[in-house]
Formats: sequence, C-alpha cells, structure tokens
Amino acid sequence: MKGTLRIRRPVRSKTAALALAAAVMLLPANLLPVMHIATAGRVPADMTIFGGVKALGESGLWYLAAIVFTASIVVPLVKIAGLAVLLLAACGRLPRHRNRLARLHSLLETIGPWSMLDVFVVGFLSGAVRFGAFGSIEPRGGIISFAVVVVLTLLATQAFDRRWLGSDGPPSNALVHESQAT
Amino acid sequence: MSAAKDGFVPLRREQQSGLAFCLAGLFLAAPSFLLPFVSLNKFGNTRVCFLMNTAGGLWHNGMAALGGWVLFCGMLAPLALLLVLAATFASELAGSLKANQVLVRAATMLAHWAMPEVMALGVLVSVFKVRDLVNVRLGPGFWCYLATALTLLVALRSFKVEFGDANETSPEGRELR
Repeated sequence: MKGTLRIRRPVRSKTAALALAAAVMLLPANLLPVMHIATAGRVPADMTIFGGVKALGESGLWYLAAIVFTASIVVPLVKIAGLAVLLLAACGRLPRHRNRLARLHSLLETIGPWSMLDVFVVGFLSGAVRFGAFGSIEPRGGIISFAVVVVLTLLATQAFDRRWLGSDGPPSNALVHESQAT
Repeated sequence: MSAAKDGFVPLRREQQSGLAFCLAGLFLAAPSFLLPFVSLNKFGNTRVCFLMNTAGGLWHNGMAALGGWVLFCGMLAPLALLLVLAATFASELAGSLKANQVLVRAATMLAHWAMPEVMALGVLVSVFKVRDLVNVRLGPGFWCYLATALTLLVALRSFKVEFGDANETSPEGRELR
C-alpha cells in the first residue's frame, strides 16, 4: 500500500475577484441614473435601468420592456450567480457534474454580451438625440457602473477554465489523503 | 486515380462558405460606416447620424473611455474579427498551418468582444424608446450594419464548426460563443 497526497489547486482567485467586483458594482449600476432625458413640454428626468424598463412597459412596449429587463437585469444576475456556482464547484464545495457545469459555462459565455444592450442604447441615444432645447438625452454615471459590471462578468467568464471542473464526482476536500494500492 | 494524386485537393465547404460570408460582411461594412445610420426629426430640425456618431454622445459627455468601449465592441472588433476570420479561412484553404494558429487565437480573442448583433438590437430598442420624443427613421447604413452583423454570426458558426475542437483542446480550453 502506498499513500498519495493530492492537494487541491489554489482558489481561483482571479475569477472570484472579478465576479465579486461585478456583484459589488451591480448596486450603483442599478441605483444610479443611467441617462437624463430633457424634452420640450416635459419635466426633465433622470432614468435608472429599472426606470427605463418601467417606462417602456407603461408606454405599451411590454415586449421591448421584457427584452431590456432580461438583458440588463436578469442576465447580469444570472452571470454572477452562475459564476458563483462554477467557482464553488471548482473549489469542491459543490458536486461536480462536469457536463452540466460545462453547459452552464457555455451559457454564461453565450448570454454574456447581451447585457451590453443598455450600454449601446444609452450610447446611441446620447449621440443621436441632441436637439438642444427641443430635446436631448445625456448619459449619467450609472451607465459607467453598469458597463463595468458587464466587462467584469465577461472577463470573469473568460478567466474561468473548464479544466478546473475536473471530472464528475462528489465534492472533494481541500486536502485529500488517498490510499492507493500500487 | 485519387484527387490528391492529380494535384487537386477538394476545398472544404465550411471554409469556402465561411470565407464567402466574411467577404460579404466586409463588403457590407463599408456602406454601414458611410451611409446614414438613422435620421431624427424634431419640430422640423433634422439630424442625420452615422455609425461613428453612435459613440460620440458618450465621448462628448465626458465618458470618453465608455465611448471608446462602445466603439470597440460595436464597430472596431466586429470589423477586425471579419478580417481575421477571412484571413483564417483563406490561410486554411492555402494550407498555411503556422499563420492559421495565430489567426485562430486572434479570432477566438476578438469573438468575445465583437457584439454587432447586440448593438443592432440596442439601436432598434432605442428607436422604439424615443419614438414619442422624436421622429426616427432607420437609414441604409443601419440595414447594412445589420447585414454585416448577420454575416459575421454565420461566419463565426463556420469558424466554430472548423476550429471548435481545436479551441476546446487549446491551452485556454475555451469555446467560441
């Protein structure tokens, strides 16, 4: 009988740090206004991401509201939650169903860019709607926070290596002492 | 007598179609930059915007970095990706292995950041969003841009079919989206 010592790889700190930073930045991204709308005959107003979704819904464009809600609110949350699951599985805190987790990683890579939707919307509107006193749309600080969330989640997803998931099996401990017959 | 003995190597369909879509995308990219993207009208004032103007609003409001980022993800990265994919397919058809590895790596990297389809959807959402504030008309530049985005998606699909396995086993161990 020969004992072998298998030491778990170090914590996936880069991915974890990026995902954590993205989670923190979600707060200002959703609380701060992303754009300012001023138009003749209406009271100028700041608009948050959720405010924009609500305004679309109230104007009867519920299908667009659903698209923006999914891209700007659901997708970032799913990405952060998904990254947390992947990291926990990679660290051995969750069972490793490799195929399912690899599919989750693929899903995160696929949906990732769609959360840039609101950044493109604000960028386009602030560039196009510039009629001075008649009407203008200006970006506000919240969009920077939101863009940072998007970039951080994209980088975190890219930094995650599927090989960390290893093979299927139960959660492993940090230090596993295995006895193997050789 | 086999085809290889004749000096004729059959070209692979995926590579050919991928190259064709890349060239079509590059061909459509020029008018998308040069033709009016959208025109807006408010109380008789008409404003015509081009593709490059879409990041200008952020730039002029003190968000130069974000404007640059929008410019990169929406315009520069897709264009660069089309060029790299075209070069990849062309080098694959020419049988240049060394150039191909570099190009595949560059394409894989760029594919993460090129988001023309998201930007096209963003413009459509914006048009509906402001339709009660201003009169908006989509210009030919937008339709060319949309076509460029679609050709890029199809070319990426061909790229994934061709190089998907290579990416999976590459040092990065990643797949294209």
